[in-house]
Amino acid sequence: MKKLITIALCSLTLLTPRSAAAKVKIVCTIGDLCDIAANVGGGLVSTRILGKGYQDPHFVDPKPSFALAMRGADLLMVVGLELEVGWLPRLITGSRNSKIVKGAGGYLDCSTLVKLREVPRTKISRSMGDLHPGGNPHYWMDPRNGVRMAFGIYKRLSKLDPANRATYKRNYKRFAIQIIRLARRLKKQLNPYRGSYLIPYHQSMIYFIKWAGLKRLGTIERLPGVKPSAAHLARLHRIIGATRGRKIIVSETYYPSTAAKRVASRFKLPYVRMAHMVGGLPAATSYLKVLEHNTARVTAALAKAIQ
Amino acid sequence: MSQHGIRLLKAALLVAALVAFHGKLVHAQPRPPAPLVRLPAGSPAPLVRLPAESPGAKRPATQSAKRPATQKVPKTDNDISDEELLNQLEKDVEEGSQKRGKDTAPSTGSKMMRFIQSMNPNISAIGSLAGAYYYDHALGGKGNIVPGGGHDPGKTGFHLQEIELALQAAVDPYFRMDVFLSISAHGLHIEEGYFTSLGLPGGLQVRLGQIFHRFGRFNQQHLHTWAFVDAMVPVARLLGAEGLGSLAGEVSWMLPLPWYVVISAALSGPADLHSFVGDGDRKSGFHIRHPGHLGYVFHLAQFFETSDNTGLSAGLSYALGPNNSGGYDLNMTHLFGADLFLKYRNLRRPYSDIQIAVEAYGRLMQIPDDQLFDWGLYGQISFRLSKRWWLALRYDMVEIGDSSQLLAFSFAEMSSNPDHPNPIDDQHRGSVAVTYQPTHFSQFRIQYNNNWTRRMEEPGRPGDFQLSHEVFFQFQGNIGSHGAHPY
Repeated sequence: MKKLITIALCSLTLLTPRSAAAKVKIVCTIGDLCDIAANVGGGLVSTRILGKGYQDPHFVDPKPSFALAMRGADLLMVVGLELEVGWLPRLITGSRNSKIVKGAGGYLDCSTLVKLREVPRTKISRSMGDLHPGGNPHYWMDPRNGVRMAFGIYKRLSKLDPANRATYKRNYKRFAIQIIRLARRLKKQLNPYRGSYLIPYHQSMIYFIKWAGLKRLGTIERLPGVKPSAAHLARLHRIIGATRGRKIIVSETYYPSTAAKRVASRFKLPYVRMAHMVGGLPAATSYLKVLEHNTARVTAALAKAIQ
Repeated sequence: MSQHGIRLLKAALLVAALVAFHGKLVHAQPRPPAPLVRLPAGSPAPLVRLPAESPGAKRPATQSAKRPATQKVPKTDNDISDEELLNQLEKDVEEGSQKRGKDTAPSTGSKMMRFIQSMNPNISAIGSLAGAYYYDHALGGKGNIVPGGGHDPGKTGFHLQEIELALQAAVDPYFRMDVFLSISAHGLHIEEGYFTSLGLPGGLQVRLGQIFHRFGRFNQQHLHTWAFVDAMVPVARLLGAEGLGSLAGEVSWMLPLPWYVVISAALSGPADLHSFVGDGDRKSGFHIRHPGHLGYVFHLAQFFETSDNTGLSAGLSYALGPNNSGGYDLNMTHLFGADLFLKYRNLRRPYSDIQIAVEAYGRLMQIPDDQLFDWGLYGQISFRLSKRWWLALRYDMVEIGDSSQLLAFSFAEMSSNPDHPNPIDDQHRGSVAVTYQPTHFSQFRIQYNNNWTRRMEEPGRPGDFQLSHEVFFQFQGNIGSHGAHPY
């Protein structure tokens, strides 16, 4: 028995607050947040991603092992705007970690850092589909928001670990400039297709579309989270027929490609899958790579599109 | 607000009014409004949130002069230097939601709404309606005489299984509160209503209130998360029509181990527990006089993430309490449980998974000069066929040791046959259910039960197994923001 208690106590000490040299433990709900945090934190942080990049972030399984990972976390970074409402709250309670409770210093809702789009101006209802009352939560796909998030993360890390403020700031500046330069280069590639149309499966592409200088021509889903009806597809067909310009169909990797492909072949439009997050496609290994890869895929598809 | 602040506010309003008026009069020549009112340099403007580094007083005076510059920025991402763009983006963050883009700024109305909503708990209501048809051979097809769970559609006809009303929010940084009320034809009752601690150290957590005990998996699940319309036979008959729930205090501890292990212990008043002192005759005159008169529930939960796609959870449960079969002689009931749950979900194929759940229960009851043992189990497998379709199969059963003894101490379930109420003995049941979800918030379900039950014709003489065919339709809908569910 005594032995058992000693073992228990020894393992307990492993969980006690980190010493000055230990890393800041960060847990993120999606890979993009962790990639940005890893760039800002450098070797001073460790990161753990809960949802896979090829997984729908709305419907991640709340595995008890996630609560285990969150038990010792110093910082929990979430997308917010109720994107994770279906699985995260229970894990936070289950983690028994008061540092990462909503509102605590170790809880960072990244939606508070960025410029949001599609914030409902009127009272919304579920008859309008699965809308997010706070605005469209897929905001990380705009590189400007990436810079804003990096800035917010640097600020928060400096608060949690003030001794290394200067390092965080240096890392942040370097990474932010990297994003900005890449974004400029990608914008140049997108420039010839300015004003072309994307028809996404879900409403998750608007940040990319607006940043890229493109336009959205409806969605394949009838309403967010509601599958396309025949009448909706007929209406979409009419709109596509009546609209001049290059048009392509895109979908996130985690949505069934069958519906999007069917629509694409019926309407004779190029179809391309986009990495919605880090890890969404094999080539999308980091936040910068996601931007680069998506731009390459979209420009290639747009080049094929008939005007 | 201080006198100084009010004066400043007045000054700011005056500036705003004058600027507006001035702008209307002289469109062509906007004059800088600065000279109109001179604010003391360096004084804070209390109502306007400002970037940390910029001097506060400058803002009202220079706002109109600066506007052309800020409006130009979105177009000129390409024209300004990297550093300037970076500064611009940093400023966005620091200014926060006060100054979001023109097309994204929420109206004052919705801002107000968000504020009010944020002060309310999450409120949701889930309605479960069912239609049922029974063909019971024992009754020549006249209906159903097999009792089941508290929310089961118990006879041919239409049923409001329940409307579950949930209120959930943090109380303060130390506690959260979750309340689940069940409204049905029987009235309103508290399904669960408890506080959970948030900030205890060392992986400890306390729950206080009316809870469904951590006694296996199914016992903690609410109706709308089931794969079937009705409750599991062994749970309804050994743990209680509503499961094992009571007013209790529970301590659980997440062990500091590399895999997920949580042990919990709950202390409960015994009165509401089905297999214990319970309701009715057994309860009358029973008072707690001794620690042995309380109820105790223990649980061990483990989870193994064997791969990204597969998870396995395994648990053991034990509950102990008096059953009052011998007055105050402390005749005890022991409940045992073991649960196993396996989920396979290929994360690259978003809308398919397989879930297998198996649970076994045992009940040992001391009665005067004897003890009774009853047991049951269920096995359930459910397949997610596509984004919208589910298929579930189930076998569940219970074996009753001596139903006439149970009857003698009023623990037996009685058939609801009005002509001939008799105690129910063993039961074996096979079920299949198909579920369709138009969206994530509504679902239709159709289910068939092949239900074999033995009923006591006379005390001490169990009859033959009798078959009952049962068909259910169910519709469920959810409004409001409902909290997340466990794995």
